[in-house]
Amino acid sequence: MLKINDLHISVGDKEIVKGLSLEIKPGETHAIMGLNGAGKSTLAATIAGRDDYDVTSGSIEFEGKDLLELEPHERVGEGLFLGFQYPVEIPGVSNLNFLRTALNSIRKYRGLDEMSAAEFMKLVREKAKALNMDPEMLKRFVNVGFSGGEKKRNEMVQMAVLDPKLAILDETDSGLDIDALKTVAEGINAQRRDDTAILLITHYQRLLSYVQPDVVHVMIDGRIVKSGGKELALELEEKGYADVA
Amino acid sequence: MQDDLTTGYSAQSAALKGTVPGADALRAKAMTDFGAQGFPHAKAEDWRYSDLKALRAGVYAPVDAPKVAPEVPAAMGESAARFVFVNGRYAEDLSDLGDLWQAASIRPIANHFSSSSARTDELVRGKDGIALLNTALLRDGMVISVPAGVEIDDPVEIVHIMTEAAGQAAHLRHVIELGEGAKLTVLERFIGDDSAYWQNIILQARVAEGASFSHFRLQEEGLGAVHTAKVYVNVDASGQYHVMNMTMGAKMARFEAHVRMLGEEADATVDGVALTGTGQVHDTLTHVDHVVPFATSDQIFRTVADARGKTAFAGKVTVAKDAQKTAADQSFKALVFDRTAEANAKPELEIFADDVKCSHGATIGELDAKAIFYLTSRGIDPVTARRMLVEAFTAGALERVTVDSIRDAMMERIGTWMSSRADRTVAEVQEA
Amino acid sequence: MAGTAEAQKQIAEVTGDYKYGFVTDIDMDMAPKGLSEEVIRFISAKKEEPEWMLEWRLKAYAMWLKMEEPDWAKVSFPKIDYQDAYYFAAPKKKDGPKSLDEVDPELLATYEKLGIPIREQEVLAGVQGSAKVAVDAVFDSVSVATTFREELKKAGVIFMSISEAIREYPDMVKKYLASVVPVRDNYFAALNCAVFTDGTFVYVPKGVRCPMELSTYFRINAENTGQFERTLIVADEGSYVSYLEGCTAPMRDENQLHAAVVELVALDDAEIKYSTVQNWYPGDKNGKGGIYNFVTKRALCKGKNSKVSWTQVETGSAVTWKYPSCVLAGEGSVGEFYSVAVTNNYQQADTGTKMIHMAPNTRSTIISKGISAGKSQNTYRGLVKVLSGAENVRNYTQCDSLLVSSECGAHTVPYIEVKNPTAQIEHEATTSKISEDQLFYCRARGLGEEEAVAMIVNGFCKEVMQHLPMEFAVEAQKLLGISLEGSVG
Repeated sequence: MLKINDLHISVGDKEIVKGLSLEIKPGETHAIMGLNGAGKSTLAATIAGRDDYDVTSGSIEFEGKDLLELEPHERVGEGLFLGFQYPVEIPGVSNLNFLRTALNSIRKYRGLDEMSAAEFMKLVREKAKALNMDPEMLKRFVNVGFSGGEKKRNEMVQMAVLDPKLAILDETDSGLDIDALKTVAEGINAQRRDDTAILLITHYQRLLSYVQPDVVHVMIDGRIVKSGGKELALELEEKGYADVA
Repeated sequence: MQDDLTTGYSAQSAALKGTVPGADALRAKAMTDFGAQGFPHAKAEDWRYSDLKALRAGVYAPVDAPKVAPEVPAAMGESAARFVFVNGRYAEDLSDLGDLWQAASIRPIANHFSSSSARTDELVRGKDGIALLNTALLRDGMVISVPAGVEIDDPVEIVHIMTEAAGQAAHLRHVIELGEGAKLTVLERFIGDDSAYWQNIILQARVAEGASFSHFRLQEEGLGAVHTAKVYVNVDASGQYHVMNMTMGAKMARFEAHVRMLGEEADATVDGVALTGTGQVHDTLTHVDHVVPFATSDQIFRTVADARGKTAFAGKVTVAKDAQKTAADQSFKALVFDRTAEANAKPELEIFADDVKCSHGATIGELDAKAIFYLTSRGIDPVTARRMLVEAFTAGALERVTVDSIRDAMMERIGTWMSSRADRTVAEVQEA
Repeated sequence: MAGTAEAQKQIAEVTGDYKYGFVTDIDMDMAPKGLSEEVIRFISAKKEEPEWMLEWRLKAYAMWLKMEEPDWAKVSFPKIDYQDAYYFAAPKKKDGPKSLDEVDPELLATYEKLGIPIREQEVLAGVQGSAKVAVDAVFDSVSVATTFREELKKAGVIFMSISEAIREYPDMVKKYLASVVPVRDNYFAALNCAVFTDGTFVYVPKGVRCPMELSTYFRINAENTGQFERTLIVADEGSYVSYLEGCTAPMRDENQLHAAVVELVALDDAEIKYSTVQNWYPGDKNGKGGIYNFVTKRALCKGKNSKVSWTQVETGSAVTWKYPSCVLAGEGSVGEFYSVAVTNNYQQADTGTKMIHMAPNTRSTIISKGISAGKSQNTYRGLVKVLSGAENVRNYTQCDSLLVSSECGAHTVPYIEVKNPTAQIEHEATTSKISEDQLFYCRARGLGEEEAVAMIVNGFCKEVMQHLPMEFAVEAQKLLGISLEGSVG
């Protein structure tokens, strides 16, 4: 599904990602672990199309398409989703309006008709309920005045509604208490299917107790230095990054 | 009337010929321009809230030396040097050069123009009649140049005293030059007797790359005076300029700060407090001009107007087309004590760059009755309560004064000013 | 952000996109070109006005001749040649339309294109429970069709063209005309007094809640004409009326002048809600052509606890000079101003409000949202004034500016003048760029760049839009999107 080959990413003169390769197949859940500054968030944002970063060499393919040739919203149309570490507040725009516009943009990209208002409301209510989100939150402005946990939960509702093929979740577990963490994990697990894939980007092993990854990668200084099964995450937790790498 | 003013001031300007080598041509040009434009018109946008009637009414004579030597107030804490000007002239016997002369160049402005007259005046931009007369009648002032890398820790105090000067005017010009990485603090003080004089002063400064200029002003002119002050400062890359202007005196006072941000990461803090009592007009105009990217500015102004007092604040921030990533904030708050008092504000933003963060806030109102009640309910008398609240109100600007002795002196004056209003205040509180 | 070249291309596409830029080909009655006493006599005669009205106009003209064009606004445009315009242009009428059937079909077709369903409205008139809007359509200089008159008459509401009102209700017009905006108030107001050709008059009697929204659509059609309409709305004690105003003009290379005067009077406990969606032709992408929109709008909250609320969405015009204001003379009266002003390409807007607090316990709210794109200049200019006798005045002002391009300007010039200690005045202003983080977040959820901009801008304007009547709000939202298309860069 996702194929990254020898990817180099720079910000200005500084190289952040220094030759990274990664392949994710349908049905798989991968986790990239690493310390702050390892280049994890840079990688996630680059896959999603943020243009503050320069890809100096290497390639990213998504279902056979060259992702780097696509605009950010076209990547979403192809089935990509980025869960933000810091979800953005948009005053004046209601959650519902936002989601509906997003969903219909994606449908338009895929050559589908707009979803009717009734159908849309049904879908959103159902997903919100599954994630324990108060329906009133849907009427509020996007992330405005939301607590850290509410913002992350909102990201999960968006993911559930937009139903991506590949979800990249950037530090979705940071700043959550245990209850919120469980809810978020449920959301992620619900999205795991044979035809979908998940890429978790995280600092700690904590989330991985609830979402068991198939493959764990250790990222240090812009490179994946080690890959293994879920037991690698525990090993990291015990021994620290220096020893494992 | 304009003809009378032009004739009168032309004669004064002509009489000064030769007193400042190299300045005659500059003076003559300024005089011609003054003749053409006179004082700002009553309807001029920048003079919407203050009154130049006193200046328009007749010619102020050149100021004489006083018959009785004035008393010089004690210094505010340690100072690197102390310059005293009496009735517009440098008083050598009252001044104290300290050790400053060893670290910096100090000279009277009379010795400054011969070498660089054009450069000396170029900072003074957009001249109105007041600035023009300052040039046309330029006679005295201090030039302080701090070489690159030299840091002067203690403040340099410049004291201006006006006495026995009814109907007379002093036109002073100070020049401050800071080399790269230099540091200087200047405290300007203004005091005077109750005669109806005019103090007209310009201070111009260049702050080179990485230099830091702290500028404190304490204006306690006599209540018959007209005080017009203009400050022009150019700040280069990573340079810092901080001015805190405290206005208390004069019948009519106008303070202008024109600050240009000419280098990236330059920073300006432009603050002021005005305590405006009965019959006084205190008018402030600031213009912070962001010419280059990545510079920051912040302004805090607080004014308090008592009965028949009038305060005005016009704060303009301009951001040029290329000045991306500018961050400019401004906060103006006014307290109005009495229905005969008046507060005016015109916080203006003029922005031609898109990647900026600029804001201003303005509030006008009276002291919070609930807060007064809360304090008094804890046993604090109403006079003290009001004083405490006004101190808190002005704290935002005063807290940024880094020299303890100066900040304490300013704070103390707020207490004194409030206490002097106590009698009226008590009556008012009892009535309410 | 996407390449600037791409944005430029999109801008070019959009500028050809002024949806209302068509010309209607109908027979016109025109006054001789230029301005003179004779032209004013011609206008007055054409409109069959009483002698007092002609006198009033001539006096205004004499005053105007002595006045000077104001120059304090942050706008610049070539000097207007007042002799190079027609001051009266009207579709030729046979005998005045008795009903819509008699109105020139070309004209009705025009309104259909504008999206004003006059006919439909009349058909719907009998339908119970459906939302109704009474429409007065002003075409160049004259009012051509006013709908729902009969039904309004039953409620006692007078809604007609001002020319008719001058003939039918002279005492009322004499009493209130120029009572809020004096003839000599400003240069353009004086000009309007001399040459105004039509407009709308509304009177809502005591205690009546106007049963439907009243609406006027203004359209400048003829070449080289100025439009000088005059609106006068009087809300008597305890009444309520909501009035909507929409404006369009065809694309012309020359600039056309629109100098309207709107006066509102609210008596005790009355409320007037006045909403404008202004979409006059803004000129092309090089700043050629477009409407000069120099308008004086003012409300007098004359009565106790009266209330006037101005809501405007300004997307059109080459140059706008407009400050809908409230004079709060009645104790406890309330003034509100909600504004969205969008400028793109070479548009210039200098707009805002004045809240003059004359009486105790008066309150005002100002919410202004300025959006600048292209090479445009967008200025908020406002005055909040509290007179010394006005106790317990409250004002809250918020003006935010959003910059969407690197070549535009956003300016904020508020004046605050307070002479009473019991006033509480609060003013906040911010200027910032459209947020990259918000844009990326929207795009990472599948929105195209323009869609993302439109969504963020609409969110930015939410506080204002929610004050528009429903039908208008939808239209205004679309208009915002259209005005900003391709402006990202």
